[in-house]
Amino acid sequence: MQSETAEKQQVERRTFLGYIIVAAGAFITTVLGIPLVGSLIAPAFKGRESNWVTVGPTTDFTTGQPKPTTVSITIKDGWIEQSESKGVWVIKQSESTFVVYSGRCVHLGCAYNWNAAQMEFDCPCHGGRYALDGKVLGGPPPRPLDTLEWRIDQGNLVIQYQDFQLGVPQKELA
Amino acid sequence: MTTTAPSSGPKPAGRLGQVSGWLVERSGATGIWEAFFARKVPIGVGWLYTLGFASMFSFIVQAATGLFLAVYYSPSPDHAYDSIQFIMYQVPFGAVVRGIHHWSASVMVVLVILHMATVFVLGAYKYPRELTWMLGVGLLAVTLGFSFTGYLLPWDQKAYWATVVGTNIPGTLPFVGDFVLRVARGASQVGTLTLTRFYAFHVLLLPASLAGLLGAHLYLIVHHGVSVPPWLWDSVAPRVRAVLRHREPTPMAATREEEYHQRYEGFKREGHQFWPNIIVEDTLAAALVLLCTIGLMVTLGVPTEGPADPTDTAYVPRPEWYFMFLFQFLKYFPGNLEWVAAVVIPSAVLLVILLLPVYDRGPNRAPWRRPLAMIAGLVMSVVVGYLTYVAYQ
Repeated sequence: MQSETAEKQQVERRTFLGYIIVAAGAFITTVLGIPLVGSLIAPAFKGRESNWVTVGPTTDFTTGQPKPTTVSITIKDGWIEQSESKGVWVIKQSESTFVVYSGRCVHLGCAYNWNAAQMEFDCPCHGGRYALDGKVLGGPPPRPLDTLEWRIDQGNLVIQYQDFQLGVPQKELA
Repeated sequence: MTTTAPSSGPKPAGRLGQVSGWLVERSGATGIWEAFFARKVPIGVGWLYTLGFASMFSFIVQAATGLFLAVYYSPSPDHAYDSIQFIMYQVPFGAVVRGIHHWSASVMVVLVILHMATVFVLGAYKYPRELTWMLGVGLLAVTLGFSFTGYLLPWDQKAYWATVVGTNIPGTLPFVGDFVLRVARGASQVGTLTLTRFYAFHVLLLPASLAGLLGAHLYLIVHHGVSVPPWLWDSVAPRVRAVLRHREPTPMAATREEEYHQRYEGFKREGHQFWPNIIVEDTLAAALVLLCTIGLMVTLGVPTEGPADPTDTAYVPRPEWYFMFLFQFLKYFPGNLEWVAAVVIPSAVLLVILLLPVYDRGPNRAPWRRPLAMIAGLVMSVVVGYLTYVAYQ
């Protein structure tokens, strides 16, 4: 028969060892858990990559005349890199001023055309209409045409291609 | 089986106590507690006995890191290398996860071998633990299978060439060589089909095999209890004799087996409860293993080579360190007898190890009373050590 003190010591010893086990277990879980969970949720915190592409010499464009242009962008999908063609509309306003629209109608993403007779952009899918400055003239589009960032680099027009969310009033990156 | 909460387990009060009480009753946790955590472990069980748990822990580390690597890995020659590069340089913590997986593989081999060596030296494979040993040898084989199949997956130069050579080895067997080689590769050459089959083996077949063998191994460890160190078992020291005489005088045992069980019960009665006395050593050993693994990764880095290039004639493939002795061993045999060195002798050695408890049934467990076994073990260690040493010169 153990004395009361001995039994108390035994319980204290067990509790102490229990703490050591929990501490070592917590150490293992933390050291392994942070990299494991971190690697799993990492894509959610990955910033978007910019996609600056050269469209061509600024002299290729006529002032006041919208021109449909295709740019080839590199899309990184994990470890797979693919190049993809994207349509844009380029409007030369002056020798050093451009407006570049994404080639997708902001309603549901169809490609739209320039109607030279009416001086407006018409979308053949659902009848969306835009003015030369991108404002909605009629039809379902919820916002003006999406403009893209541009700059001139050694006589070439360079644009930043981006996709935006469709069907919403705000211009937000997709 | 009782339905009361374990006496030595935590007993939270109030609502928490109600919830835990519900869980304990519905899950049958008391049974698990009594059979596993509250079981008595004989006296004399010390740090040497943590090697088995440490081996299992390194496997758990491999399973956990492997699971997260699989999230990003692509088992196709087109993308395998790029996906590894992606893990290394694009995924935050990716290099750490892969580094731990890489080094933990080596650590696991070391621990498994040390565990095995301890069991051998202490004669713990003898009655009644023969089957536990055999399952352990199976676990060793599966561990080496993991190494071999895991090697190819990064699809870099070392991966490709080590597998070309590794699969050519059974290809030198007379009559069945070509068949075995084609089955191993899934084709006549190492390529897409080799990668997918190695991947399937590495992440599905081998883990399932290991889980099965390990489950049986653990069951037997609990069933038979861990062995008492031979120096205590054979000891005539007053303290040990007192243990055996404690309380009940044992009647004369009719057989050696009965005598064993009576004696073992004596040691067990005086031993410690598994929780927390033994688990604390196991957990601390596991933490140390993890620290060593990370230490290796930090000091030696995470090796990466160029992508696999089947046209490279300058590359000299060398296996991982634990296969180096075999690599060196092959050099001593002429080409037409290579299969003897590469397949027949290693298989024979593995069989000799597997069947050890079948032919070595002497009653003595202390190493100093088993000179023949100790000499055999020593010779084998020296040969393997020497071949490994020479291979690195």
